Amino acid sequence: MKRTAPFMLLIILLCIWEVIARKVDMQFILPTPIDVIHKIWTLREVLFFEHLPATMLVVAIGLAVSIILGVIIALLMTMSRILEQAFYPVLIATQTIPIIAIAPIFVLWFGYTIWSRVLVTILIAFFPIAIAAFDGIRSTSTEYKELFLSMGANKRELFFKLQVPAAMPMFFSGLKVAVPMAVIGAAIGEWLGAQDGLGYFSRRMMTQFDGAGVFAPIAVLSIAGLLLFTFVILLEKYMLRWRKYQ
Amino acid sequence: MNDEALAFENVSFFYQSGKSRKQILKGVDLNVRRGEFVSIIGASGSGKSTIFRLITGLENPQSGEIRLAGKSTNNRLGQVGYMPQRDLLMPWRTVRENAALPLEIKGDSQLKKVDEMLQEFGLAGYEDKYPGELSGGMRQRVSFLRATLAGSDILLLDEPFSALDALTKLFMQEWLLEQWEKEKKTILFITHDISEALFLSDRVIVLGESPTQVLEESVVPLGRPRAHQDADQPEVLKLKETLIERFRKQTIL
Repeated sequence: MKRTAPFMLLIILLCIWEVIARKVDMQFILPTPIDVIHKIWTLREVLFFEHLPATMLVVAIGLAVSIILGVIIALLMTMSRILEQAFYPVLIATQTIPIIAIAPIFVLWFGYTIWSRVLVTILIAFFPIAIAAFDGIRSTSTEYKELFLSMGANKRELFFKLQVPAAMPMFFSGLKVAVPMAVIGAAIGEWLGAQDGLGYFSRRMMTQFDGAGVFAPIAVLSIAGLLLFTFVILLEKYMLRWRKYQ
Repeated sequence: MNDEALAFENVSFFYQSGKSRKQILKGVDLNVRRGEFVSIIGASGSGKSTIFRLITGLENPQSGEIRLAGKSTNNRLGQVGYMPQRDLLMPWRTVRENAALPLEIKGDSQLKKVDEMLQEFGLAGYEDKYPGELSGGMRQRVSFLRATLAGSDILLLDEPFSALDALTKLFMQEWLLEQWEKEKKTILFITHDISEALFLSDRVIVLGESPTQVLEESVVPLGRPRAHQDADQPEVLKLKETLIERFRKQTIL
């Protein structure tokens, strides 16, 4: 029952949508779920073998760079109080930038290459990772640190054997926030300037007044995001398997 | 001299915070022989933990000398096995990995030794469990083993059994004595439980209010090995009464 609950809810919502969409009967702005599924099927080749891989590549590069960048920033911030104070406001400032407004500039910089989209993704996704990693590394209590020192541990051992493993739960929380954001970032980037990707494809369908064609890539993107998220949860469960005994 | 495991000579220590200075120890002497079991009792804030922090090397005295095994040094970190009040096991490490931590830090990769010790400490079959799966008593055993594997002769135990229920505590005390007799270690044991101190130790040291100048000590009139019934002998009860009175006065003052 617990496992089927989300599917039940999804089906109920889709049914409601179906009913309303049929009543409204304006396919070009509100297609029914069945239209969308049908569209996904007819466009399956383009969607799954052309645009989905393009988007996932952006998501993958964006996430990878976000993780590296986020962790480096977190490390710098834990290294000294001055760096922490210097970085924090800048970090927050990056999050107040309206992405939609700045993304076209990235396109001017990088053209219709993958990098303008990657940059949008990073700008959105590194933040939760940096903050979570920072809080995680700082979360080690003095008691544990002193225990390590009393065993003669040096800074390196303190870091790798205590602070890093202790930060892992927080890090994964940050990663779980970052994954959907990276998917959104990639889609926004494609929407604003690209020649492939699900976001780009959705926009192209928009210009053709193809309602179902707009929704089809979005639905595929959601499912891809969901799968990616599930993968992170499984990875977390495996890496932090000790947590189920806590 | 050769018999000396730990010595304080004329040790003074204070905490400085801003302009205010809190003197904890003032010219204190202490001598612990190899293989001795010594308890330190004191009310909270009496400087028990400070003494431990000085011995482990987390703090150094402003004046005086601390000797480990006859050697005076200001770098004692890594030389004394410390078992903290809360077990402080790493939840992400298995029992074996937790116990092996001090060996890892020393760069000693004798994992075989760890498995043998786990057997001896009654932890066989628990090697691959996580601390979260163990009872409080079991966790304390792992914590004690970890302190033992720190490799030094001296073990500092900081109220290790204070969070356990009465029965578990009793069994753990008996277990501790057994291990101590087997391992031939020197143990310093902090507690606020007078009965526990009397049952376990050769000598009991009482800390008054800080700053401490002289450590008052009493020898426990019991031989070895001991059983928990021995704690009811009249001489022991008399000493217990004396100690209780000693604390009563202090708290009234």
